[in-house]
Amino acid sequence: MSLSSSLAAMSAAFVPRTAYWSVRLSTGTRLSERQLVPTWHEGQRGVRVLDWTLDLVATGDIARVREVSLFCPDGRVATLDITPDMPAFQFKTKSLEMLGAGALEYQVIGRVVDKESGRCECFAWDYRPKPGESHLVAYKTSVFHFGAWRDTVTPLGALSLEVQGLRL
Amino acid sequence: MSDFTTIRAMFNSNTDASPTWNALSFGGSAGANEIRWCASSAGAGGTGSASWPQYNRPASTGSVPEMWGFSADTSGIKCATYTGDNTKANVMCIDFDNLGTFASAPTFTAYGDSTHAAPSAGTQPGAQSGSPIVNGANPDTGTSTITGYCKCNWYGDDQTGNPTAGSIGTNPSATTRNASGSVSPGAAAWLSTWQDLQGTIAYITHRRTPAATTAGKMFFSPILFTGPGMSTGTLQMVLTFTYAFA
Repeated sequence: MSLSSSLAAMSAAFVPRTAYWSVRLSTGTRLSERQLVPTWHEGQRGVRVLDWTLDLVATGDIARVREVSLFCPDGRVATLDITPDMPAFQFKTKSLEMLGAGALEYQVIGRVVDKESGRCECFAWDYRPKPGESHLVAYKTSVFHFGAWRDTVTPLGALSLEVQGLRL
Repeated sequence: MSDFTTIRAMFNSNTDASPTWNALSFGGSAGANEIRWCASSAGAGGTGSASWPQYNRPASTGSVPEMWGFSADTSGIKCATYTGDNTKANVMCIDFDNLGTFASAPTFTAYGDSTHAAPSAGTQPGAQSGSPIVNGANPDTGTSTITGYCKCNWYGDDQTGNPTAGSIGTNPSATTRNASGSVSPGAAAWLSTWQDLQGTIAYITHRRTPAATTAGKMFFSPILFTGPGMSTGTLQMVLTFTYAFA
C-alpha cells in the first residue's frame, strides 16, 4: 500500500457524490465502505477503504450481517433486512469506453429471497438513469441472471457467488 | 481494494505469433486513445483525428481494411494484425491489474455515443454520431434481423499469455450475428460465429468471472464493415467494456 494509494483510499472514503453501502452485524457493529482499514505492506503503513470481499466475506462476518443499507448521494437511505435464508450482496458497475468517457453505471445492494432460483430484491443507485427516471431504483431479478432496468446498459448475467460470499 | 487501478485496451503492432501490445487508456478525447479505421495504406501515425483520411462509401458491403491505435492525437501505430477478416487471433485485448476483483463476467458492446442510448436497428443515420455503424442498414447488414456493422470475436479465457495465433471462427460478413442478446465463447476458445456489437441488442459476455486480484488479459478482435446503405459523416461509435466489482 503506497502513499498514493492510501491517499486515494482516503479520498474515496469521503467522496460526497457517490453512494456507499453499510451493514449492521448481529453484534450491533456497523461497518461501511466509508471506513478506512489500516494496512501493512512491505514495511509501509497505509490505509484502504473497507472492502466487501476482504473484510466481510474473508473474515466470515458476512454470515453475521443482519441489515444492509445503501446511502445515496441525495441523502436517502435504502435498507434491506437480512437473515440466514436471505443473504446480502453488494456491487458496483462501471463502463469504460473507447472514444468516450468512463463512468460508474450503478451501485446495488440486495438480498437473495429464494436460494434455488437465485431470485433477489435489490435497491440500486443509478448514476445514469434515463431522462425522467429516478436515480434510486427498486429492482427484482436473479443473482444467476442479473438483468437491467434500462436498455442503456448490458445485463450483467451471473454474479460471482464467491466474491459476494453467497452460499446458495 | 475491489476496483482496479488499471484497466486499459491494447492493440497489437507486431505479428500474430509474437504480439507487441500497445496500451490505449479508456476515455478517448481530443484525438487521444482512439481506434481509427481507414483504407489500405491511407493511415499515418502523425495524422490528427480531425485530418484523418475519409473512407469512401463502397458500392457493396465489405470490411474496412486498416485499423490504427492512437495514444495521442498525432501519435498512432498501425495494428499489424487487423486484416478485416478472421485470419489473426492477437488483435486487441483488455488488460487489467491484480488490484481489483470482478463481481461478474464483464460485457463488451458498442453504442452510438457515450449516452448509451438504445440502438434503433436499421435506422440511418440515427440519433448519435456512431449510430450509422451500430444501427446497421437494410439490406447491408441484414433484412429481417438488421445487425450492426461492427463485428467482434472474443476469447473465452482471461490469461496473461497470448492465445494461439491463427484464424478465429468463421469469417464474418456484413450480415453476421451469432445470436441476439448475449453470447459467450467456450473455454480456451473463440466464438465460432462472430457477434455484431449493437448496444444491448447484441453483445458479448466474457465466459467467466476472472479470479480475484489476479492480473490478466481478455482478448478480442473487432472488424468494421461498411456498405452502400451506411450514412456518411464522422462516425464515432463507442466501444464499451462494462464490469462489476464488489
